[in-house]
Amino acid sequence: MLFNTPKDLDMKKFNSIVDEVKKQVTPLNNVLKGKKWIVGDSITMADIACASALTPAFQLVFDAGFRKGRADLAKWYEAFVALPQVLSTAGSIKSCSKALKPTAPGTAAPAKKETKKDDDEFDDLFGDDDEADAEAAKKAAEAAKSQNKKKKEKKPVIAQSLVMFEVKPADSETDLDALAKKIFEIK
Amino acid sequence: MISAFAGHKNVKMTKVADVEALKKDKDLEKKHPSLTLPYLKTQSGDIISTPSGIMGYIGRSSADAKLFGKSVFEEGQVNQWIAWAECLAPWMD
Repeated sequence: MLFNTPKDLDMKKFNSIVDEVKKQVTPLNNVLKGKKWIVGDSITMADIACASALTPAFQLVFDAGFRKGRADLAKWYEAFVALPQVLSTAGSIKSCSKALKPTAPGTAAPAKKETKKDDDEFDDLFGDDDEADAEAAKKAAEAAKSQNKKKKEKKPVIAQSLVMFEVKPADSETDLDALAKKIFEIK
Repeated sequence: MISAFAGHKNVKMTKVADVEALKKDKDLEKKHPSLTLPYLKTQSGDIISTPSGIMGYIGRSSADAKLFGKSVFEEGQVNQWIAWAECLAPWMD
């Protein structure tokens, strides 16, 4: 649901799922208080199952603020993904700093602009495009608005925001196909 | 959660896009009639299915690692959390 959001998913439902998942992990956080692993003092299948199951949540919706409030859970997860065995099979798994959400057509344009801003932190090549971008974004927003009137259904486009997030640190030389392959392997 | 093992050198993971195609595999149909996913085919050709079934098999295959805890009670707790993770899984796809 978090990764492959269905086309007819509305944000209300998406948010309720996110809230439910956040609620469900509270007992796990409590169990992990003062402990390194879930059961006993060494790693067990419980850790592997729970950490694997929660990986999409850590990558997409458990933002830095949420993890701060669940310090024991976050510490446990970071310890798990840092294991050499996990690194060698799943690669480096990073938790998100900001929650990613599927974007509805009306909000797609501003989201695009936002990622561009992030890009500028690394490289100012696109700095001049801001004006044209703003105009394009305005146009896109207007078009989306009229489209929205016709169809009240919201169509989330989760792929874009996620890919943008993963690609950010890459430079122009990076083989995007290979990178995409790697990203899919993580899942 | 099964994908956690996919990188292991002795495990080959195949994504099944079309369940109908599996029905053509007569040998598989005989050993695993329900054709539910995921399933694991061992070296001897036998089938274990469901995430918890596969995890149980893999977890106990390495006796030294104590992946199911050090006592019967710990084993129960491990199974409890595997079931918890399975409940969460449908939301995570």
